[in-house]
Amino acid sequence: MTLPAALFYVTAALMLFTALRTVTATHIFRAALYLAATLALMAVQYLLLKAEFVAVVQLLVYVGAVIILIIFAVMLTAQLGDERVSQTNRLALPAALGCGLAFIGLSKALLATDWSAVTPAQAQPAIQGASGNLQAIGLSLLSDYIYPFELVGLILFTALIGAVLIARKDPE
Amino acid sequence: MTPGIPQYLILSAALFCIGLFGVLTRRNAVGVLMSLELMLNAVNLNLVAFNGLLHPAALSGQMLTLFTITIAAAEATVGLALVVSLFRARRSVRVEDADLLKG
Repeated sequence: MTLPAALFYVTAALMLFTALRTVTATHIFRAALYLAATLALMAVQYLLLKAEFVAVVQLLVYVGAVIILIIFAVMLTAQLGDERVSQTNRLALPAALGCGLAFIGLSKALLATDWSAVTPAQAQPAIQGASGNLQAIGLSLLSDYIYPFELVGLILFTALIGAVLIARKDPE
Repeated sequence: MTPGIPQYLILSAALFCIGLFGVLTRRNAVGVLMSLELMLNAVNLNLVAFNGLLHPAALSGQMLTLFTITIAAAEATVGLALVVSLFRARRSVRVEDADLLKG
């Protein structure tokens, strides 16, 4: 087995473990740390798929920003010593059954599909003359994807204002 | 065995189902949001895997993933603001305590 293949399986196993702990940990702060580990391991998967820019963005945005936000929310809201109360509701057993069945159904469908029929495309690069992943993404962000790019900026701006409005104290 | 499309898709399906389980069972609203992030990430892995393994020259999957990450960040911001606001109003972040609209 080559090194990237071995790395894939090790990372995948670690990811499944940390993801399971994220949804089952009794302490919500620990769950946040396990989520951070899952997201960092996801960046490794992106690197293995040769998507360097996406991996770096994943680390910056998720592990850097979203996890900090989540930990802030945990600190602001949770009574951290409060471990006696069960963290899962009474749906746990049916939900586990349902999700397990969903997973079995999905993997059956995936394995029944003949993926060898889907051949890798041998098309030209989307952006001519770009050297490397980063430059290609930068060029296509400002050419092919300029409208979604601007729109997503607007959405971020709106979400920022909305979050400030929702979370502020009511002026009394 | 070199990981191909099925391996990536099965990993992604497993992560998605784990996230779904978390969304359904977590009582803490922050926990529900964390499980949602897990599900979004599972889908992102699909997109990047299809891009990287089936069409390495194209960028569509990676671009879509970048946009999904941005939207997920916006979603997390607003969601956590809602949680903080809920905590102010009810002194609790349990989802079953937010039942004002229950008939």
